[in-house]
Amino acid sequence: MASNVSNSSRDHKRTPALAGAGQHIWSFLASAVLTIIAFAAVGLGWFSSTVTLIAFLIILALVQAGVQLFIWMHLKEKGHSFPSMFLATGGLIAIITVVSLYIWVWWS
Amino acid sequence: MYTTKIDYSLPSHPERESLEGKNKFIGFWFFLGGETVLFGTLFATYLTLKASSLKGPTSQELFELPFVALMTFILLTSSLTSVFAVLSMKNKNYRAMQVWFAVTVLLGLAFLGGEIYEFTRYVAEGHTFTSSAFGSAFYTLVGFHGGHVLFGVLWISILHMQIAKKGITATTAPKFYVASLYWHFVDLVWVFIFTVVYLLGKVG
Repeated sequence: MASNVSNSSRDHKRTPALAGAGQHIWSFLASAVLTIIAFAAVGLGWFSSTVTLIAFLIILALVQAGVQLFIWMHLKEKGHSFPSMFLATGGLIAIITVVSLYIWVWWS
Repeated sequence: MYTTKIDYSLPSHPERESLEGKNKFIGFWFFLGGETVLFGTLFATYLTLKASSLKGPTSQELFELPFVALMTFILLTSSLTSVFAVLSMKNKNYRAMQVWFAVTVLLGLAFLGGEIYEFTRYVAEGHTFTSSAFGSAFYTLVGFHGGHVLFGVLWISILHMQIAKKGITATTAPKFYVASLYWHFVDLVWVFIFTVVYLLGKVG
């Protein structure tokens, strides 16, 4: 009942607009730090081995993608089994396309 | 019940309250799965053709990382402001929601302005759609993403006008929710573009 009362309050200024924004601000900061690390790794030449650098950058990108998907697009919340399936299928086909075309053209 | 701009009886997940909203939600995720494949093919094409720059400038000569970093931060911030907008919707604060979506649209426009500036500079340096296979693949991939940003800006702007008239209801809430999903997806694609195209393009 108590929650119903607060939900039907006429004065909407009483509800802070950004209540519960904590995890989103942390996600933003994490993404910002990952972005800075990625640009610094290339700009400042942190790695002498190109292969290591590429692997490092791909991992950073995947972590950032995970933040977007699971926190900002709510994929970790309940009722997202079909969305996860759609995206996993699309992602799998995308990875197969990229890897097979790359191998086909460059490793022959 | 109330004549204010927002229906306070809306539940905490208004985007999945009606059957229409549920269908929109599931259908939109299906579309995003398809979009993943679409961008996957464009990335695959780019990766196979990026070294074929003929006599035009190479990716190492063209790309300037500070500018790309600026574009990245504009888009990342716009993703956060659209999260704030949906959060304001769930907290039933209509005005804050309007403001955050307006900020999102403005940041999207700033990103587009940056991309137009970037492309005109590349064209002046001899990197055009027809100058090499690298050029064709680059403009197709990055331009397709830019087209998505443009579409998102127009979509959210139109929803903004509609919601100013109708307020947040079980009909309008799902529209905003999926528009924000789309906006995050566009930012997600950009993460891979700045990594694969710009950063790895600088490495060679």
